[in-house]
Amino acid sequence: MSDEQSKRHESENISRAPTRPRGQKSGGAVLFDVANLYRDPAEVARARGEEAGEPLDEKLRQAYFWIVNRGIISPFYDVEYNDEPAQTYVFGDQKIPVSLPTEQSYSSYVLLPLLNLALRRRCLLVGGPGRGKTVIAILMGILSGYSLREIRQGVQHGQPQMTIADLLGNPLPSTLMAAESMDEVRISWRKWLGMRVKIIDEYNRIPTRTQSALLTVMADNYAEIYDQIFECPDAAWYLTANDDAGGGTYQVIEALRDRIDVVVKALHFNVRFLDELVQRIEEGVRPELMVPEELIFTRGELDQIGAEIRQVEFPREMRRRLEFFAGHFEFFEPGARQFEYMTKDTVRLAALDQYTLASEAGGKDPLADIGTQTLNGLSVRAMMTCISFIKAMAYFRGERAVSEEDMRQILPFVLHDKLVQNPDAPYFERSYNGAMRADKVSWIRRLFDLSNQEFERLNLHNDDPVGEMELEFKRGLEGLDEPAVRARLVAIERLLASWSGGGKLYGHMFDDILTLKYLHQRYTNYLRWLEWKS
Amino acid sequence: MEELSSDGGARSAPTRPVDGALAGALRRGRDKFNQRFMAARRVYRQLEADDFYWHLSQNLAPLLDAAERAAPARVDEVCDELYGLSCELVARKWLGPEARFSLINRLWRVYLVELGRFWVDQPRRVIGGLTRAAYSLAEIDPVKANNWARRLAELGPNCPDVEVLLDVGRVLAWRVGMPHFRPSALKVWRRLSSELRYQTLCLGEAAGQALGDAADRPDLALLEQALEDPWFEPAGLLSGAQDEDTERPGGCKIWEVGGFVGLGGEFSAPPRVFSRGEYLYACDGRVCYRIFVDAFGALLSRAGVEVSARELVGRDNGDSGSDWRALERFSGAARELPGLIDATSRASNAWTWALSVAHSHKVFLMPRDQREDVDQAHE
Repeated sequence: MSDEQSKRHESENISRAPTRPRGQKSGGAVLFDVANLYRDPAEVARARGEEAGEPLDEKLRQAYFWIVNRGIISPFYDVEYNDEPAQTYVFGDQKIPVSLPTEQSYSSYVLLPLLNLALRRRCLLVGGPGRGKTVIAILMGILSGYSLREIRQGVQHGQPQMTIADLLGNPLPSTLMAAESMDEVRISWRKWLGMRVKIIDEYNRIPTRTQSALLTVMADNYAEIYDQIFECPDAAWYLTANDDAGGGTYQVIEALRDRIDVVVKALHFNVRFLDELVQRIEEGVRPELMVPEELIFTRGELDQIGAEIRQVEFPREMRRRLEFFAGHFEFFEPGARQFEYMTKDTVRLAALDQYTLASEAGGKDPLADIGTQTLNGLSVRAMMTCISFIKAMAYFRGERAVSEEDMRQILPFVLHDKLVQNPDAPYFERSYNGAMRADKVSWIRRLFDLSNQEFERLNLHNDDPVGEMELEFKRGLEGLDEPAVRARLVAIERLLASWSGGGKLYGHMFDDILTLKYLHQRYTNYLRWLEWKS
Repeated sequence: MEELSSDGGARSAPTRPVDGALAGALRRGRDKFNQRFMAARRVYRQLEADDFYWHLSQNLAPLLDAAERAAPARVDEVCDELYGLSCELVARKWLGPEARFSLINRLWRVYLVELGRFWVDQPRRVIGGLTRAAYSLAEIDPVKANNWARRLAELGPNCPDVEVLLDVGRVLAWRVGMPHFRPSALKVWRRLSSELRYQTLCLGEAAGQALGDAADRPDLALLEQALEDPWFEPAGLLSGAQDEDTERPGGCKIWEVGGFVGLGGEFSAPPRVFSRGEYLYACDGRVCYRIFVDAFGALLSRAGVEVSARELVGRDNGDSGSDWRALERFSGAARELPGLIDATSRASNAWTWALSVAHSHKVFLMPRDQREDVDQAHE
C-alpha cells in the first residue's frame, strides 16, 4: 500500500470531535441544511468546527487518541482523572489499589511527549530496549510536519566515539585552509540543529566532552565551533536512555540532566495485546508511515498552542497549594545559623553530607516533615517547568484554568529527576514505603498528597494570613498613610511573635517567615520615606 | 434482486463469481487490493472476507461494468476508489449481506448503475455522498429513503451534470417527506431549471402526469409563492389529487408523529406541546423534540439545549382560548377527530396546530386555517 493510500485510509480513523465532551451539547437550534446531505456527519461537524475556529486543544487530543489507538500499543491509564469517586479494588499483600477512573484518563507515555511538543521543551524517554522510545519520538517529529526521511537524518545516535564535529558540524576544509582568522572559517552545520524537533537517541552513550557541546545547544539554543555561532530555533527535544539513573557508557553531566524538563517511562508490554503485534508483523504495519495528514501541526499552530497554554489561568488557590508543596524541600534547619541560609543548597555548596548535620535537626517528626525525603529543593527552572506543564495539562483537557488534579498528575513527571530522593529518609523505612525508592512517580505524587493534607490540616485554604498580607501589599503603597503602614508592621510583628514561641520549624514556614521579613522591610522603608516627606 | 425488500432477502442471495470489468481490475492490481483489504481488516476488525466478497460480486461488479460502459479507460481508477470505500462501508454494515438497510445495496446495484456517467469521474465523492445521503434518510424512514433513491434514478437522465444531479437529490430529500430540510431545499430548488423544478416537486403519478403536461402546469412564480405556505401541496392544484394516507374525510390533512418508546417511538409518557417563536416542540417531561412539519411530511428532532425538558414543567397550555375556539370552528380535524377537542396541550405557529391528548403518545399536526386569523380580526 502506498503512503498516500495509507494516509487516506487512516485519516478516517481520527477520533471524532469533541474528544472530551462535557455536559450537554452546546449551541442553539440544530440547523438542518440539505447542502450537507452527502457529507459524512463527522465531516460536517469538522467543517462546522473549522468555521467556528475549532480549538487546537481538540486537535492535540485527536493526535493523542490516534497514537494510542493506532500508533503505539499503550493500553495504560496512569494519569487518572475522576469527576466522582472511582471504584477501587485492592490487590496483593501490599494492598495496592487499582482504581477505575470515572473521567477521561491518559497514558503518560503518549501524553507527556505530546505536551512536550506543544511546549517545545525537553523530554527524556527512559526504559529498556525495544519499548518504543524512539518510535514515539519519531511520531512527534512527524506530527510537527517533518517527513520520516528528514527525521531519520536528524536523529543523533549517541555512541562512545561521538565527537563535537559529529554532533554540530565541520569546518569546511577549503575555508579552513584559506582563512587568516577564525571569522573566515565557514562551518557546515549539521542539519538537525535547525529542526524544530530534535531527537537524541541514547544520550547517555555520548562522551562527556560532547555532552558539554550538547548542553550549550539544549540550554542556550545555539551551537558554537571555531567562534562561529548557529542560532537554533525553538524545538521540542526528545532524548532517550536505557538507564533511568542517567548511567550508561558515560555518566550524564548534571547540568545536562538538569535541563531535562520531563521524564517519561516506557511502560512494559501488556502481553494480552500480543495479537496486535502479530497483526502488525503480518501486515508490515509501521505507525510512523500512517500518521493522518489532518493531525500534523503547522509551525503556526504549534506557536498558537504555546501562546494559548500560557493563557491558561493558574488560580490563586492552586498556586498556593503549589507554593506550599514546593516550600517543604529547600529548608534545612541545621545547615546554617542565619535564617536565610538554612537551605540544603548551603550544605551542598559546602560539600558536606546532610547526614553529618542532621543530628542537629531537633525533635521534629521526620515522618511528618516531607522535606526530609529529598536531598535538594526546587530550582526556579524546575518551578517554571512545573507551571508550564501543569498549564499544558489543563489546556490539553480543554480547561481554561488549572486544577489540583492537573498538578497532582503532572508534578511526578516534571520533578522526576529534579527532586533528588533521600533514600535513607525514615519515611522509606516504613512498611511498604520502600518501593517508592524505585517508583519515583508514586513517591512524588504521594509527597503532593501529603503536602495537600498538611495544607488543609493547617486550614490554609481558608485562613492564610501571610497570603492576605501579600495581597494587601500587592495592592500598592500609593496613598497609604503613616498609621496604616504602622498597623501593617504591627500585624507582621504579631504574626511572627505568635510563630516564634519555640514550636518546630518546617519548610513551609521558612518561606513564610522570609516573606514576612520582606514585607516588613518594604513597609519600614516606605514608612521612613513618609516620615522624611512629612 | 432489484426488488429486495429486507435484509433477509439480501442474505439469502447467492454469491455469484466476480466477473466482468471488476474481475479484470482486481486481477491487474491483485497484490495492492489484497494488502488494502488486510490493512482495512486491521482498522475494521468486523470486516469479514465472505461479506466483502459478496459485496464485490453483487454490488461492485455491476458498478464496474457501468463504469466500463461510461468510460472504459477509467475502470482501474474507479475500482481503486470504490474498493477502499467498500472496505469501510461493508465493515460498517452499510453494504453487504449484513447491511442494516437493504436500500444501500440496491442503490449500488441498481440505481447507481443507471447513473454511471455522473460518477465515473469522481466515484468516491459521488457514490460515497449518495450512499451517505441514502443511509441518513433511511435512518429516518426507510420507505421515504427508497422513494428518494428511486425518484433520483428516474430524474437522473434529465440532469445535465453531476452537480445538478446532486441538487435534485437535495430537493427530493425534502420532497419525499423530510420537512426539516424545507428551507434549505427550497433555496436549491430555486436554482434548478424550470423543468426540473416541476419534476422534483411532483412525486405522485397523478401529479406527475398533470404537472408534466406543459399546458396544465401552474405558473412557476405562482408555485413559488404558494410554497410559502408549508402546507401547500402542489398536487392539490390538480383535480382529483388526494393523499389517502393523511387526508381525513373532512378534508383536513393531519400528520401524527411520535409514539411510545416501547414501540419504537420517542415518548415515555403522553407528550405535551408548546411553541417558542415560530418553532413547535413536544416534550414528555424527560426529553424535548422540535416538530418539523409541512405538506410532505412531519418528523421530530431531538431539541438541543435551546429547549430543556424542565421548561415544560408547570407550563400551561400554550395558546389562548380564543385561538382554540377558532380551531374548533374552522378545523375539519376537530370535527372528524372529536378526541382532539379534549387535547391536553395545544400550540401553534403561523401555519400549524399541534395537539396532544391524554391517552396517546402521539402529537397531532394539522394546518392552521388562515381564515381563523381573519375571523378573529373581525371579532
